[in-house]
Amino acid sequence: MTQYGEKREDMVIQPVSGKALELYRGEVLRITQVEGAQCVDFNAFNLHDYKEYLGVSNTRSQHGFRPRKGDIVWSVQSRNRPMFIILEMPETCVTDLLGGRCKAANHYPEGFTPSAHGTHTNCQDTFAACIGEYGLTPDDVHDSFNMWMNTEWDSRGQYWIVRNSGRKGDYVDLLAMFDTLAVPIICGSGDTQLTSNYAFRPIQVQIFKASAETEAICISYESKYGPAQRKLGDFQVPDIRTDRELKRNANYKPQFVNFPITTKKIPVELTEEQHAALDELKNNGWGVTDGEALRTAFFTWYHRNWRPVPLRGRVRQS
Amino acid sequence: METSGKKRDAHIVEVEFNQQQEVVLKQLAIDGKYGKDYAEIIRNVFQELLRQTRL
Repeated sequence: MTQYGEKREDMVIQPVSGKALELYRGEVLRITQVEGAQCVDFNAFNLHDYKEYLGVSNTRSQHGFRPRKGDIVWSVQSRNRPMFIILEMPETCVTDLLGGRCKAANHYPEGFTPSAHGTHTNCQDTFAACIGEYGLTPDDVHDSFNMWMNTEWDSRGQYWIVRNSGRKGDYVDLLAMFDTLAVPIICGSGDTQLTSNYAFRPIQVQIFKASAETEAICISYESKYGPAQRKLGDFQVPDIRTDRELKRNANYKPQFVNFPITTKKIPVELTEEQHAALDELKNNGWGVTDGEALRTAFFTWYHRNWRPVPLRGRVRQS
Repeated sequence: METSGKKRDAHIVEVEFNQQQEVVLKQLAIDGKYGKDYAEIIRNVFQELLRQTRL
């Protein structure tokens, strides 16, 4: 197991609350189940530039719906860099990148409306309450990286919640790749939904200082993924808006990547036999024209055989 | 856009590649395993795919 630095923070987060914590590069955030079966929602921001935040869809595209031990939690696509490394995570911690985060309206059918029983606890509002300490607004809450949230899904991606498998003493260790504001919270829906087995329970949160080993891990990931990172200097519009009304800039000229797309025709000589095979591919939906089918065949081969294997070694094109 | 024609027993198929797709071809050309010429690479890759899929 990786050697961490000394513990500098240790607290218990009570049900329906959370805490925004400054977690610096190389430090490890440990989230522990005090009693078990408690869903934990998680938001995170670059401490020095809040517009870079945890990218749920970016992480999902790399690791699927359930990141686990050894996976990377990425920042949003506009920056695209490893934000946390999951150093420890037990099998009983099922993660979820589908549910986003619960909101007050989820509980309207239960009677929790402003005109009836008031607002039910929910992750959107809990996150907002936490990040307000740093001047962030409810609009800054982003989709959540959910831990101990057991979801299943069908072929359309419709998901449902099953019983929480978290056990007392389970813990997750997240290594910060850069200075962050990390926000673990207790999911607010777990008392009337199966998310937390119909009860709220506390979680323990600890922070361990950086060590030579954690710093070495940061450096190794940076060297591997650093070139894919986007920085403010790459942005055509780097400044953050301060007014809410959107107004058109008549002088703005968008700089689209590789615009315009141009094409060239490449004549390829095929044998009778190859052409017959191409016909068969067309009949199987690989393209309407010969050229389209041949291009599909080319890239099908390319993805199966040549393209550098991305993270986790999963490439599936057919 | 793309047409096909006959040249004795052979068929000429015109394939359109954009500038980004061409980068892929360029890398294969540098490697050289499937040929140096774009048309040659496409044909050899196609043949390889046929061999792999046993079409």
